[in-house]
Amino acid sequence: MSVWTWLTLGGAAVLALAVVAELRRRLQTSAPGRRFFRHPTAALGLFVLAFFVTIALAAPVVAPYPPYYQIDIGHPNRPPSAQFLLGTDPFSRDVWSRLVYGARVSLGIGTLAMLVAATVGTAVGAVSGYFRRWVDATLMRLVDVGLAMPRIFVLLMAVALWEHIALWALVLLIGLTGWFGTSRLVRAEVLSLREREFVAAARALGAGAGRVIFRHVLPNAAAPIIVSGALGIGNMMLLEAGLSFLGLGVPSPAPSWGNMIADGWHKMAVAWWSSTFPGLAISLVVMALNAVGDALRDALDPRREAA
Amino acid sequence: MPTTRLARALATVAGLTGLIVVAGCERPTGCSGEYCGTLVIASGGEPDILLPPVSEFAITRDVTDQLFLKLADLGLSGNTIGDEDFQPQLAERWEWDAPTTLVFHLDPRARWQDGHAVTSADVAFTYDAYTDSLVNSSARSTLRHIAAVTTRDSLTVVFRFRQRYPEMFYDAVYQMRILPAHLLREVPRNQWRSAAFGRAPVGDGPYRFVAWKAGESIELAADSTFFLGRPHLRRVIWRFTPDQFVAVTQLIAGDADAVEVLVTPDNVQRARADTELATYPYKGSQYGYVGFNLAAPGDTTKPHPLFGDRDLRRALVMATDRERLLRNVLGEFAKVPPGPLSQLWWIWDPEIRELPYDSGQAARLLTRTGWTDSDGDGIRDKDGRPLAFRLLLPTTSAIRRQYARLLQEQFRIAGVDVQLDEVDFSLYNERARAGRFDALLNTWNTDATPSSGFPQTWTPAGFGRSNYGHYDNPDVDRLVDRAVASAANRDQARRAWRAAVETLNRDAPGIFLYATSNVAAIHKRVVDVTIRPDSWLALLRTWRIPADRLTDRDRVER
Amino acid sequence: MAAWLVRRLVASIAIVFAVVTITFFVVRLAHGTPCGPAGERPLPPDVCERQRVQFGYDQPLLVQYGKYLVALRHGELGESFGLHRPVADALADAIPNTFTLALAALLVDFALGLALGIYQAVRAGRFGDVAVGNVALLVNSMPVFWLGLVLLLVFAQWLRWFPAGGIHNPILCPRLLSPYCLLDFLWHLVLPALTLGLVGAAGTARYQRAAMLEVIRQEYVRTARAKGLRERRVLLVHALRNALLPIITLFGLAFPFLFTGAVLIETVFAWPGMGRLAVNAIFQRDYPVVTGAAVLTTTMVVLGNLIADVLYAVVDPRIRVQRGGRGGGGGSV
Repeated sequence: MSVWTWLTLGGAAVLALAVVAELRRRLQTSAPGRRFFRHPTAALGLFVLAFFVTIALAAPVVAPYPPYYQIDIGHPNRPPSAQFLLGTDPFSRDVWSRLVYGARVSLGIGTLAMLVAATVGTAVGAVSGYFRRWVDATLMRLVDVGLAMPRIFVLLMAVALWEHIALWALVLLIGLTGWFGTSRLVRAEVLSLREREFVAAARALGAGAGRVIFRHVLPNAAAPIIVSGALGIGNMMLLEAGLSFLGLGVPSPAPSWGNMIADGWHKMAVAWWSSTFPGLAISLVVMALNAVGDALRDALDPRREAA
Repeated sequence: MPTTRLARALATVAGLTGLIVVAGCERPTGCSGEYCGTLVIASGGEPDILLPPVSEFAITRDVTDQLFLKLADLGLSGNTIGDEDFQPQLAERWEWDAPTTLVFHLDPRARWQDGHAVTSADVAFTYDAYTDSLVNSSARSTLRHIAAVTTRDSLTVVFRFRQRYPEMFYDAVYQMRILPAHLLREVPRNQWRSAAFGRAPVGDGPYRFVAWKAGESIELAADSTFFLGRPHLRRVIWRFTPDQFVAVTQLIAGDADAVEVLVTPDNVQRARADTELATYPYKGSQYGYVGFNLAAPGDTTKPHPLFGDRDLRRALVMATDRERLLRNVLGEFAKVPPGPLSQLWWIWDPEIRELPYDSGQAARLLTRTGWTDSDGDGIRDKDGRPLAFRLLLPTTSAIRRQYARLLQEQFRIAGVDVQLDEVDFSLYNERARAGRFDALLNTWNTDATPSSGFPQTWTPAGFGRSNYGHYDNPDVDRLVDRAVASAANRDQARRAWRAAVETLNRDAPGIFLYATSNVAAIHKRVVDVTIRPDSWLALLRTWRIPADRLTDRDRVER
Repeated sequence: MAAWLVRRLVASIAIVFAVVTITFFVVRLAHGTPCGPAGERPLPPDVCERQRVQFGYDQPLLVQYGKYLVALRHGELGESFGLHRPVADALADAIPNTFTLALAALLVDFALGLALGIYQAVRAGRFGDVAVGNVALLVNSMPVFWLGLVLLLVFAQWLRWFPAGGIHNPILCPRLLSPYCLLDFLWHLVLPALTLGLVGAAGTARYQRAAMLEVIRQEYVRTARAKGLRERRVLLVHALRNALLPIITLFGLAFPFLFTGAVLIETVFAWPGMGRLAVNAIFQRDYPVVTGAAVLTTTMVVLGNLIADVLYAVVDPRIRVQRGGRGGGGGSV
């Protein structure tokens, strides 16, 4: 069993390296691409992300045990060993297998929630920036209210006060509480872009507001959206982890990195591995996302000087 | 020059810090002798209000039992039948004027902490309060056999019962903590839950109330004039933590001296490994189980679509490896109960017949009743419906949460899909009472005797109260009545109880998972520790810290 | 300037009002009726019903809302039925604790962030810069409660250097009686403040590094250097003054983050602050406390933003002209 585990680990790492190398080669031809890879941590971040995405996608192959399988409940909390790479948790489930399957859930929730937030935020920001006047005023007041409420408070209230919450509802909620910053960003971009000639030209040619926004304005505003998106995934993952820690996130027995920390918290003194490794995984992935996001910001915005 | 200025600044800061450290390092010389000592108890819960009839919490009972006295208290043997094994407290002696008339003579030395004497009027007032529907004490039902409580003179109280039965003395004395009539008479009964008295109580017990910092601690100080003997421990402080795990952490870190239950095996391991702590095992009064809802959720006239079927319930019980589950969650600090029993009850008998763990038989039974995996998804189904249900449990219990996850997997292997409904405590109680659940993971803290708790949970007398699953078997009712009535005759009662439990086991209204054996951990310097299983701090006033083992904390004079 | 300030003030009040309304209705529209504190034996339904009437929960929602607003004007936040005391009292007990924690965390955050940022800027491009930068990035990416758990495990349980939670020693120091008690309080404060502060410090360091680098390259610094002044003086006096701007921005942004982090940290370290109060109230459906906490938190956040905006405008006159101020980054947790 363990030989296979090491093999798949190695395989995933090699695959990730290959992906990064290929990306680097392809992007060398464009200026933003070169700027991206000038960051020392950008390549590392990409590697980490590629690695985790690979093992998440190939979970049934990589994980030696099924994620729900309680191997020997009479003897839980086994330390890391040759057989159990990262040990077993208080329910005698293999931590490494759950980490791998948990990657699917955590990364999935983070990405989907970010997509929700980005969509709503972009829509609101674009409408607000394009139409201005009272539309802008009302929407931005709404955004102010949203930014004023501490996010976790709102989420706690929403999740705790309804009886049982489906996973998709959780994703939606996390996304819907996180779009306010993006909308401000997009609004700023749209405000400046709408004065440009190509917008005036499009309008002169009879394009409706929607068409102008979608075909002309937004593509040029894409850069900050993408950057905030990359950073946003990390924030959503941290939020899901916090909710799971308080007992309100992904329901058992499905593994998520957040509820793995929650499962092992009370046993930290005797079995530190159950909570430490998922936390480390979150840290690494979020760090990678931050690094990639930073590099993207520099790469896509030629006005900024790389520090 | 910047450097000398910097150096001067650093020197001043260092000097100030040094002064503070030196000033703070004074060792207070304070209390010495046999009557010093401070006990810090780390508790995973906080009382709601220190007024006995109004509160349901065990932690409130722990605190108020030091502040208020009962007429008489249970002896160490735990025998609840007759009156020979009870210890005098507020009443110095008692006698039976008639088979149904009990006369208490109060101890004239008893005093409320504001100076007033304790009189029989207080006892009558207390009885009136406990039986008042506006106060709605949970003890009301146990007092239903008492017809009246009257006073003969200022130190004599007369209890008149409606009938004679074996545990009448226990009912009269165990639940009621006598309250000061002169301080509570003016408070309207429907406002007792928020009365100011409840946050600054005045009692007649061995300890008096000092302070309550909400969310942090409650402090009590010993009453040096207590008529039954001056308590040796001068101060008792309860320190509140968010949960039991943090409480144990504080104990091991030396910030607390005592914890009521260590709960989990690794906590016990940590405590035993600590050279400063002594562990005290005692019989637990709790049992936990999965209760099936035999009625349809929200409609008690119809049977539950799944659990109305006795064979299905029996199959689920047989599919559960209770021993292995217990070993994972509680290690050696609990036993698998042979029915809905706690270890405290005298009717505990490992020989009681129950359904065995037999996954093969369980599988065969399920298949025979039509539940087969026709679509190959690992979950059994019948007529297109999957064998799936939701298990309700509160988020406040770490033990039950762990059991829930283990059970989920056990049932999944048997082909049953279980989803968890982990809800907050008040919602859990609401749904349990209303019957809006399929199955629930419940625990009961039992009284010292099964006579009141068992019928409340497993007979129609408990419909709308503790019998959440709506279990009803006339045979069990009959046997329980016979058992309670014959309580004086131990053997006869034991046979009746055994028959009742065995009949109940055959119906499988639930899966009886664990009956706790508690282990308390107390700092080694505290000696003469006696723990009574039904209330671990009942004999706190006899614990002491010898003069040669006092620490700084004990000596602080305040 | 005055007109702008009045506008911001009105907007702030409107925001608080909106949040109060939203919280009020969200909390009440949820499932489950409030029925007393968590206990082992639940209250029977008729007592529950009586409590509902007593607290006025059987009346139509709008009527309750109206009454709540009226009470709010008088500074009354209602009575908590979980804690059996006025909400304002419970909050008043809890707020100083969260406040000190937040303040200490901010201190750690800025002090450490500033120091690291300057160090990085001075050693720009060299190994010190890269190493610190990566470690800071990692720390900034950690789940704040996980970091707390790890620090608790290492420093409180294994090394026993710091206490394992709580706010004070209840026997020797139930109140701040003496300098010794002050030290005791600070000793309890270290781990939670460190946890909160470290995660923030990493972010601050990156900000400061960029700001410092930008300033270092400015003309006037070169001029000052050319004038022959000592390197250290040039850095500290001139560069720092301009690097203060991001600090003010971060101060405004820090409040929501601190509350979020505080909720989780207060749970891990058993710190009796507002975060823990609010979380427990949410779980127990203690409506008055939840709404009260929401009101207070939003007010603090909005106030923080307002102060930050004012300071910003005072420090940099160019900002006063712009509207919309700071463009938000990716939604901060």
